[in-house]
Amino acid sequence: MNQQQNYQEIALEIKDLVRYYGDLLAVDNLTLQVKKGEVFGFLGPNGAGKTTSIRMMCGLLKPTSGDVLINGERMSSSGIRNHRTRVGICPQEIILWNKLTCYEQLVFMGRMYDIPGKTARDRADQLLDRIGLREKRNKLVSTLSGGMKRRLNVIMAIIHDPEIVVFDEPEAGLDPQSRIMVREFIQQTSGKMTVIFTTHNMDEADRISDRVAIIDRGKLLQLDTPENLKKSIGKGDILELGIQVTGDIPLGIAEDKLKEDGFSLMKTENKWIIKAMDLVPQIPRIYKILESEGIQVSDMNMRENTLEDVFIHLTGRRLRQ
Amino acid sequence: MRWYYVFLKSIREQIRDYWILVLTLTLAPFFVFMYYLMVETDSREFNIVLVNQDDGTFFIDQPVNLGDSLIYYMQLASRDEQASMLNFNEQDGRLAGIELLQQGDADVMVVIPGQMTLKLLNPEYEDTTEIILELVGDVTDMQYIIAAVWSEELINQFIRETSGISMPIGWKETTLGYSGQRTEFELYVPGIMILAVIMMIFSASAAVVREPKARTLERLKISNLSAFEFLTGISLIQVIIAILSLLLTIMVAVAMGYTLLPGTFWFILLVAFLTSLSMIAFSLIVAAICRSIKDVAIIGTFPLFILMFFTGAAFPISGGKLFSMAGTTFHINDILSPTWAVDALNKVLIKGQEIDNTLPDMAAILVLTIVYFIIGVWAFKRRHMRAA
Repeated sequence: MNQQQNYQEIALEIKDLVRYYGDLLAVDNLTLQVKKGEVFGFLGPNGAGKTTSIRMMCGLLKPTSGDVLINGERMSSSGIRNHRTRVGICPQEIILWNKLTCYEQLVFMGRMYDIPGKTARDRADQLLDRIGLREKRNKLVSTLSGGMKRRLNVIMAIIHDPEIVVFDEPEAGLDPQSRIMVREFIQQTSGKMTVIFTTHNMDEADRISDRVAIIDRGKLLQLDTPENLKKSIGKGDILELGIQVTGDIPLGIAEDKLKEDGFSLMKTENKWIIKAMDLVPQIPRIYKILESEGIQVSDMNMRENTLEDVFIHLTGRRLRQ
Repeated sequence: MRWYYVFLKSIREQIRDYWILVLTLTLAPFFVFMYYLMVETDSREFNIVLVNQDDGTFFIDQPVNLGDSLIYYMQLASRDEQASMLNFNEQDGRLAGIELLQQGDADVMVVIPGQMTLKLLNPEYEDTTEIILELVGDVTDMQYIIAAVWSEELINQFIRETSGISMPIGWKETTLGYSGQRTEFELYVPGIMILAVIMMIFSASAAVVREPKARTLERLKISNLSAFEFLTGISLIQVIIAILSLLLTIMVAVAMGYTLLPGTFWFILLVAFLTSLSMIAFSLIVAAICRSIKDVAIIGTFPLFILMFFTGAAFPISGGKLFSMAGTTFHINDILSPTWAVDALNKVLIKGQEIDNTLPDMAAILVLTIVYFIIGVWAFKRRHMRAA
């Protein structure tokens, strides 16, 4: 009974999902649940296995092992066929028919999902309105700008009103105006539909996700709300220092001194990220330590915790590295 | 009804991407026009060089030269309508005649031997060997062959008339089917009708390749559309294109003087329809090899040439014997469905056979269509569907 109740809340569940490309392990034992109506973000760098994971969730790619369950039904046994109308996918690449107009392809895709003609036509107009493409209704896709194509790509995923909609890097390649439109569109869509999206943009994940799964090298590193994820690495300020080193100065001594003084230190290529509570009054002390070891600071930036800091904390690398 | 929406979508795409459509629709009618120009507007003439080496003789105290008489006879014959396409040109020597042959100004040279008159008029002449008239020319050239045959025929007529010898046998020519009523141009038309259908290989391959190239096949794959519905929608528009191309071809042929026999129109449509199905199946194989429409334009040319020139569509071809079974000889090009389609049309439109006699051809087209579909679907899935 409990399990049944659980399935009423869970839109999608993946269990021990594994996918190999030859010898390369792209997805490594991924297990997670996506709740109905939530916006679920997959955050990770390029090549982390996000797209591979969502392609398996949509039935576009066969897992090497593991299960995908939609509303408690195993996809591996029934295939995608039984779930086609339940899932909508917005791929990372623009996948559109260049020789059809915006309106024609929305209606065509609707008919492919057996939506009655009038409903498909009305829905096409509504969606074009919502995404700001009403004026381009009867224009061929080949005449649209890149940003407009991306927006159209987004609404193509939900023409059939699916229960779950998957957006793969929905903001990639978008101009600022289109980015805002797509972001608002996804937020308006949530609640009515379960939204799953992938991104390597921490800001995007932070702003629109109810929960975020941080994934790297095919493995799930952490899964929680953005707030909880940020809290998990501790409260405090973040100081980013760009450093310049002249000559053969050993950095280890300065590192040790900072750690001895109670600072949490992370290093990326030429940046030191220092974290501590109430950091502002301590900046002169940090400068003094660095100067005493011959390390010069080229730039300085202070901010609050972000999901990127969580990623760095978990992997020791930046998202875009 | 999902196939119907794929069909509507394909119509829009075909019309908006019109270059391939224009190519598909117009190439076969253009071929008809080209064949007409090649065959019918060519004023067939045969240039015959005559070299008289006959020394002549005195017969009843009168100088006689039968070589001169033969030349006069031939030149006179060319004024008849039947032999009006023969042009005779007398040259003094053999070398001058050969020069004309080499320059392409003559098709055949007839050399009349030196002692022809002497041998013909004096049976007691010491040299009893037969009189040899020499024909000189390029024996591989069809112009030579026809000119030589005409020359031989006129020389035989001359001998019969001057000697009073009558032939113990005569000839009667009975034409098979409608071949006697057809011009050379009309004999090519049934093949070109099938060429009109073959041409759809471009538009059909492009229509199929367009989807995996734009990755729109992924969208369709996760919708309710089945592979059968997708292929039905795409195929239907291609069949219509093939039939349109055929109709244009027939219209141009009729305008150029082709006579469409009564009661054969629907038979032609049936053969074209069956052939178009097999060409759609064949296009799947081409589409499996190609990744883009550009590939179709480049790679698709190779099977197009094979289908055009190896099936009898562009011109008659024997196809090379493979084996015989139950009294039927199988050729290499029998594995190509247009071969059977051209054969079926030729049987009815030229040889005057009943439509029933084309049933084996129709059966062969159907069997080959199924084989092409099996190979095409397998290859297409392997190349494009796995990737999707």
